[in-house]
Amino acid sequence: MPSSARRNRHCDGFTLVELLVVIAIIGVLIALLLPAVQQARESARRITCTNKLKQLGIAMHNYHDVHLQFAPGAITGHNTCKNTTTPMDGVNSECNKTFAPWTVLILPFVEQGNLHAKFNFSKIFTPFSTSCSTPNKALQFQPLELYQCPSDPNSGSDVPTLNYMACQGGGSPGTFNAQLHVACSGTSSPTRYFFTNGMFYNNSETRFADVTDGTTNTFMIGETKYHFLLGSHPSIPKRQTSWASGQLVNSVYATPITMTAAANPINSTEAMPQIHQLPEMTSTFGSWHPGGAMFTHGDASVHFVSENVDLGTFRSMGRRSDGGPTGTL
Amino acid sequence: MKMHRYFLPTRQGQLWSTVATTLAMLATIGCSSQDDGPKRYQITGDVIYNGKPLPAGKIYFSPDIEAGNSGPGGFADIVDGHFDSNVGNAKGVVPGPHDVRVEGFDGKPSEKNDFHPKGSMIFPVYSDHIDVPEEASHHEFDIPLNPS
Repeated sequence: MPSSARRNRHCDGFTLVELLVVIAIIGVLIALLLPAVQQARESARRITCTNKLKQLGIAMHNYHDVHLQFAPGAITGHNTCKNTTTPMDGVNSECNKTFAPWTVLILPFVEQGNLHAKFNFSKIFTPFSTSCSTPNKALQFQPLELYQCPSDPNSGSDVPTLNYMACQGGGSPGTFNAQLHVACSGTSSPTRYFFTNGMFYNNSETRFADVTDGTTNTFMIGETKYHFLLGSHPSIPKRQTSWASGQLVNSVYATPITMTAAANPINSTEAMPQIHQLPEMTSTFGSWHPGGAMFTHGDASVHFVSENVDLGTFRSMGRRSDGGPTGTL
Repeated sequence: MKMHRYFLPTRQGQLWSTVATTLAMLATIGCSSQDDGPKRYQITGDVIYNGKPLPAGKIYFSPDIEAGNSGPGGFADIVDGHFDSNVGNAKGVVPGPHDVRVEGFDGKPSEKNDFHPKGSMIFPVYSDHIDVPEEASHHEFDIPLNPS
């Protein structure tokens, strides 16, 4: 009987090995869970970002309903290109006839009508916080959450950054050909690019009918992670651009600021907040979401585009009417 | 006998550890898959400008559509006349004919160029054409003064 009693006592508890194995399994499961929590957070931020891009897409369509054209990329009193190396008529002042960008024009359609009403559209919109005197400047440099992606560590409620750029076109930045590639670029160092083959550019009047490639096959708005932040210009530390910056029309340095082209591959330059990335802001889409960036297409649908996308297809998606087959992304 | 029973693996313990190992392996299967896109190959090389190594710049490889090539574009920073297509977040270059574009800088940040880390632009674009083999390769670019 004593031996049988001892055996029963053994069966009541767990052995040390069993306990260790259970602890090991719990450890493995927690190790699996922790990265998943981080992924879930990024996933939530990405959904917020998608939502903003979708709202901007619908706002563009509503603007078209009212004005019978999409919002101009930006309004200026100048021709986009005098010749391939002379943007903006060769103007040499950055405060000359540079008016509202698309980001301000669509405000009434994203429930920011009150903010829109405070701007004076007969006055200029300064490109930089440090130059030009205009009654619009104070409002221009107020941060607007609508234009900020929560995944971007350089954006936030304390900076007036813009994470969503209208698509000014697509093609190689090294080939001057307004139909298929870059239209013109200034002589600044490094060069900033102007395209006119997309849906949005200087004084654009694009209608649905002009997007002959099909609105599904054309980029309207895309993500950027490149900024001109405070402190990134060593000799003018208080200089920055904002979501409401007018175009920089000073011909040598001319920059669209609120528009980017599908020119260089997505994320082909890393985000460097300590330097101003005006050239990348005109030529390179990018995001902090792993592996690519999101785009609002002309039909206001939002899609994630991988960094591994075929470059020819990507550039063709940036152009509104090149007739090129796009295949699938 | 009592000690032996408690501290050496029992048949039941072996079963538990086998199950745990299998579970852990199954659970990690899904973690290794990632979309790396088409197969790409490393390109390294030297860029000579006007007889000397190009101090700074950027090189882009675009698959030549007219020659029937396709795929994602490649890119690399040029530092002291040398570039490597697999540094940082760059993933290499797909094989086949490519249009090459080089931006050249003097590598001297100053007031004149807003203290851009690459310095002043020497030339905005130099274009070339190469055929990328299906293996790691080395290419030399000899750029004349003031290319167009």
